[in-house]
Amino acid sequence: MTRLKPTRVAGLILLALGLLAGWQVSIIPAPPAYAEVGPHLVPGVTVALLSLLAIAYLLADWQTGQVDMIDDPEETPNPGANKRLQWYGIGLAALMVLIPITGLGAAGAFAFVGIAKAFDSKRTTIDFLIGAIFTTVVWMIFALGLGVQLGPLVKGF
Amino acid sequence: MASFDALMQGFHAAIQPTILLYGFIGCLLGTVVGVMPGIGPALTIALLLPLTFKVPAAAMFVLFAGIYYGAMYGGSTTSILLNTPGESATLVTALEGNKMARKGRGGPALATAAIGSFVAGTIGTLALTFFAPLVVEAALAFGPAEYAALMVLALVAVSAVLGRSALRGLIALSLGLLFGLVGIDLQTGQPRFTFGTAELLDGIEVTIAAVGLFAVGEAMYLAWQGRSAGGEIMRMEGGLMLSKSDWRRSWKAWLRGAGLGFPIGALPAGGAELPTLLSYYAEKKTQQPS
Repeated sequence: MTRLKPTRVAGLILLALGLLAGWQVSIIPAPPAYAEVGPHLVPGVTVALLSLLAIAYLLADWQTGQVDMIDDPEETPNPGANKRLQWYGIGLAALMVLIPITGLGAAGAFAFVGIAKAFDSKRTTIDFLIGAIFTTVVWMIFALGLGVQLGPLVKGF
Repeated sequence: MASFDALMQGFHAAIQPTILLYGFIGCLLGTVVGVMPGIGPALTIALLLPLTFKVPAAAMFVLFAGIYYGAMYGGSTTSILLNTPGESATLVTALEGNKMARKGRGGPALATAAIGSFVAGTIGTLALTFFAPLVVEAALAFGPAEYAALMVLALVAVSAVLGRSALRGLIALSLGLLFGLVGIDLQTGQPRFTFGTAELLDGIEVTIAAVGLFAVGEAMYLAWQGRSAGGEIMRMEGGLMLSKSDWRRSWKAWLRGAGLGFPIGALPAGGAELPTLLSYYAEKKTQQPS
């Protein structure tokens, strides 16, 4: 089995999104009988447009191929791109998962470490310290200075 | 000349040192707010509203106007140097200004954004003083059909003119419309695309989409490429000043921008994004890249 081209994957994701959105449109309650235009009209048209464009994209990709930046010699990544992207994903996921558990401060520090690793940083401890200081300063400006509800810096303190 | 007298009275009030100080604080705060993505002039003004109980109204108006102008300019700084728009209205500045910064022309890009803001802002303010009564009549004549037409024009123009592939532009357009539809339908109160979660009832904010696309996306792209950091620092070469040819190419664009921005900005719900995109389209079609 040959691997799918990234452009093909993008087209399929768009099509899947169109189907998902179509399902969401179908569960919008129907308008009362006297209303000609209901809350499902514009979403329906938009979803239909998106699905049609996704099919057109896939057809064009199948016939002539879509432009992919990976083929552009000036844009090709240095080796290890997937590993860097994995670290980036781990950093973002840490932020999303940890905020409800530990509060913004610790989550921000862990996210900083992950994303710094995505940019080939080798000094994990120093990264953690920088991230912790940075999130603390940001938290102080917004939570203490401006009164934005950000929750405690670290849960339990 | 009743409006002229009123304008002179306004200048008399504005020239007082305390009011000037409030104006300075407003601009400074606004620039800081504009530089930071995720917090905009509307939020800042809302946070500072309690001050109106203590401070006279004229000073507060000057402060708020300063915040708005400062934020609109501050947003262009991060757009040009970091490719991260601080405000939704500076998306276009990020698209083109960052290209200039990459070529080592960040200084002139910042300068033309600042001077252009000043020139067009002054024209707009003066025009508003004298034409406000007329503009009100025009604004009231705008119905739903006219707004829809204006919106379609801006959206189609943008998606067709950006990038090399019209198909991709249209896909991005319909994706954007789809994300814009998330939340409660204002006419009937029905939730749409919320998957039953309360957090999505308010919809997806423009700032969130902008930060996700331009900050998170840009960082992800840079990490994927894995270039050494040295090549990515935007150097400010050649100073801040515009060259003669920059002036020659810029001044008409400032005036055209003011001409597009003022009428649309004076309409209720005209906003800052629509005229920005329209004038980008106009410049992209009329100017030859040098």
